[in-house]
Amino acid sequence: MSAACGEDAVTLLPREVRLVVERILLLTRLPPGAIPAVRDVVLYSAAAGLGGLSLLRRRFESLRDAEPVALRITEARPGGLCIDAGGQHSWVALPATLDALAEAAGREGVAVATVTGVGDPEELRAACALGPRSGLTVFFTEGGCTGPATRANAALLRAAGGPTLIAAPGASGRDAVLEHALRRGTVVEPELWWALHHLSNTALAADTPESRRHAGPVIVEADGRITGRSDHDDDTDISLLTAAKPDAHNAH
Amino acid sequence: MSAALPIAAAPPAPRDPDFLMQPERLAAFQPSRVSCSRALMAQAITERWRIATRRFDIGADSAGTAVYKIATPGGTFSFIAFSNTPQRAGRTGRIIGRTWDMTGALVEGVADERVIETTRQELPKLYAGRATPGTLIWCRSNRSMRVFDATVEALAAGRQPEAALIAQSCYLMRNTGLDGNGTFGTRSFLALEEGHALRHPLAAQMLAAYMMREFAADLANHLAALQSPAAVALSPEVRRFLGIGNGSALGLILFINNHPRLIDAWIGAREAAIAAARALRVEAGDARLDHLERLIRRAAVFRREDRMVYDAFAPSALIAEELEATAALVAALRAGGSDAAYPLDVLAQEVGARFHPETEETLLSLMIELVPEEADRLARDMIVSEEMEVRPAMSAGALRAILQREYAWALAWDMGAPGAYAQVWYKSATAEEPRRGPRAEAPPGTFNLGLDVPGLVQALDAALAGRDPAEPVARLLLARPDLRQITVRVQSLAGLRYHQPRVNIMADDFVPAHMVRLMNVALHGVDKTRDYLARNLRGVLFHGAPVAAELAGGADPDWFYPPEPWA
Repeated sequence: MSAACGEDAVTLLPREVRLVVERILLLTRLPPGAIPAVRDVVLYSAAAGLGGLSLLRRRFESLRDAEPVALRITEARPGGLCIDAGGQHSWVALPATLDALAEAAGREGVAVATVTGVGDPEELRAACALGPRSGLTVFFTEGGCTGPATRANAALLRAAGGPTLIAAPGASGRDAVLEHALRRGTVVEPELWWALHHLSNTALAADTPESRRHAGPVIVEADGRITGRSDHDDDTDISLLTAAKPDAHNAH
Repeated sequence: MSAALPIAAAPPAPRDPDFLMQPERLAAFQPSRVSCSRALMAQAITERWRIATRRFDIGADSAGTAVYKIATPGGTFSFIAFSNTPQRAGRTGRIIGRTWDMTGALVEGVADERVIETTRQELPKLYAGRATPGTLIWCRSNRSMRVFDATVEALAAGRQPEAALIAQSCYLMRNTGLDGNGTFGTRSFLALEEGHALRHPLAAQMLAAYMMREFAADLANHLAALQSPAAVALSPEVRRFLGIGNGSALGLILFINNHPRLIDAWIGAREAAIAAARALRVEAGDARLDHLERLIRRAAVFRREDRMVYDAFAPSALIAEELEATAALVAALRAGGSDAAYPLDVLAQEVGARFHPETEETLLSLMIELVPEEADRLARDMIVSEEMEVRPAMSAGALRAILQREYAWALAWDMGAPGAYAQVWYKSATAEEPRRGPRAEAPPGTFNLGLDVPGLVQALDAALAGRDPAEPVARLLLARPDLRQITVRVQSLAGLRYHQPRVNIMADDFVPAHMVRLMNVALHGVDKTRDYLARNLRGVLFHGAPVAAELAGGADPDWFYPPEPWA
C-alpha cells in the first residue's frame, strides 16, 4: 500500500468501484464479454451492504483460478427453475440466473429458481438489488417458499429449500440501489480499498520505453531519434520517455 | 386536366447516420453553440455569472494559492488553484507527467480553509488521493513555457506580448488533465440536483478549464507586476484572445466506446439544431442572413489568420477561401431572396456539393446561431445515463433483425483483411495512460481494452444464425456468455442513430485523430487542433471567450472565432 494513501474511511462512487472490480476480473478466466455483468453484480453487492468488496478481496484467488462453466437450467414446470451453477461463485452465476428468471417471469407471471452448486450462496441476495434493472421484484430465501399467485391458474410455484430466488415483473423501474450509490457512495475501510486498488492495477500494462511510443505527440526511439513535429509545445523532459523504468512517483 | 402540381419540398431533416458517422465526416465537424464550452459560455452570459477573486497569495517564484468564487443562479462554486514553481524535470504534456505548474479543484459552495488545505494535501497524490465532499473536478495544467515567459516579460516591460509569438499557441497554459464524475471521490454528475448549474454533460469540466484560463492570465499579470512597477496588464483584447490550451489523445476513443448515449444525444442535438436552422423561411433583406454573413466572414478571417500546421486536416487557408465564397452566397441570398421553400437548406446543399467538408460543417455550425433558443435547450437536455441492461426475453430473431437493420456496416466489414486486428489498446501502469500499438510490441500480459464493435457484431450474428429465431436471448447467453456485452449494447442502443462511428479501431489503418477531433472540436469546442502522429491533438479552448469580469455585465454572445487583436 502506498504511503500516500490516507487513513480515513473512503467513500467510493460507482465509477471507481466498477473500474477497480473490472480490472480485477480481467485477471480471472472469465471471457471479456462476461466481465461487465459480473462487475455490476459485485457493485450492487457492495452498494446493498452484502459481501461486496470485502468478499471480493477474500475470494480473489478462487475467482481467479475458477474455470467458467455454463449453468445447467431445467424448468420442471412452467416458471419453476432448477439451476445448477456447477460450483461457480454466485456473482458469476447471477447474470444468467437473472436472465432465466426474467424470461420465465415474463412468460409465466412469476418464476422461482432454486440454485445449487454455487459459491457463497448468500450473495445470491444481490439479485434483489439488481432485479429492478430488469423490471423485476426479486426475493431471496433459504428455506421452503411459495411464489405469489399471479395468474388464473391456482397452482402455485413452491420450492422445498436451499437458496431460492422468487421473481415477478412489476418493479417500478427505479434503480434505487444505484441511485443511492451515485448520491451517497459506498463507504469502505481504506486498507481494503487501497489493497483492491493496487490489485486492480496489476491488470495495467507494464510501462516500458517501447510502450511509451504507443502514445504521445512524438516517438522517441531507443537511439534518441525523434519522430514527429516539434510544435506541440510540451516542453517534454525526454528522460520520461526513455527511462528503462517508470518514475516510481507516478507508477502504481 | 393534367397540370402538374408543385411538389412540396420536404422539411430539412437530421442527416443519415451512414453518411454522418463516417470518421472523415465526424472529424470535419466544427465547434458550435451546442459544443460544451460554447454552451457553458452561452449559459454564463445569459445568466450573468459573477466570478470574483477571493484570494491570490502567490509569490514571485509562482508558488502559492488562488481561490475564486463563481456565483450562478444554479449554485455557488469555488475554484482553488495551487500554483507551483515550474520545473523542467518530469515535465510533459502527456498524462505521465509528474510536475504541473498548476493543480486545481472545482468544488461546490464557498470553500473554507479545511477544504482548501485538504485539497492541497490530497490533489498531488492524484490516484492515491481523495477529493473532499462536494468536489466536482480535479484539474492540472502546464504553462507554454516560451509563451508564458515572453508574455510576463513583455507585460513587465510595459507592453503587450508580440502577436507572432502569442498566436503560435493562443494560450498561456494548457490543460493536462480534468478528472471528475466519481473519480477520486468527486461527485457523480448523474447525482447532481435539478437546477444545478453544471448538471449538463461536461459542464463542470468546461468550467474548470475556463477557470484555468482565467488563472493563467491573472498569474501572468501578477508576476509581471511583481517584477516591475511599470508593468501593464494584458489588454482586454489580448486576454480574450488567449484561451486555455488543450491536449487530447487516445483516451477519447475509449470515452466514445463508453459513452454511446452521450455521443448519440450530442450529435442528435447538433443535427436537430441544424435541421431547424435549415428550415428557417428567410427572405430578401432578412436580418438573420445579415447575422449569418457576418459570422461567416468572421470565421473566414479567423481561418485566414490561423498560423497552425495540420497534417491530417485541411489547411486553414483553403477553408478561409471557401468561407469567403460562402459568405458571398449568403450575401446574394440576402439581396435577392429565393423561390425555394427552404433557402438555407438549398444554400447548405450547394456549399456541401462545392466545398470541403470543413467548410460545409463550419457553415452548418454557424447556422445554429440563427436558432439560439432551440440550440440552448438541446444543449441542456442531454443528460443521459449510460447504464445498459439485457432484455433476456427478446427473441433471437428480433435481436438479429436489429443487427441487420442497424449494423449492416459492421456486418460488411472485412475483419479477415490483413491488419484488421493489428493493434491493441491498453493502459499503462504509469498514470493509466491510454496507449495503442501493434500487438507484437505490447508488453507481455497486456489486456486489450478496445471495443471491437464490428468483430463482436459479426460474432453475435454468426451465433444467432445457428439458433431458433423464436428462442429467447437468455438461452443464447447461457450458451455464449462471451457475447453478453455486445448483446446488451446492441439491445440497449437499438433505435439510436448516432452512437457508433463506422470504424474498426483495432485496425492498422484506423486514424485515432479523426475520433479525437470529433470529441475535441465538435463536442468540447476546441479551436485550432494541430494533429500529431495521427493520434494526438493540441488546440485551444475558450479562444476569444469573454473574460470573467465581462460575464456579469452581459458579454457579446458572438465571441468565437476571434480576430488577432494586433491587426
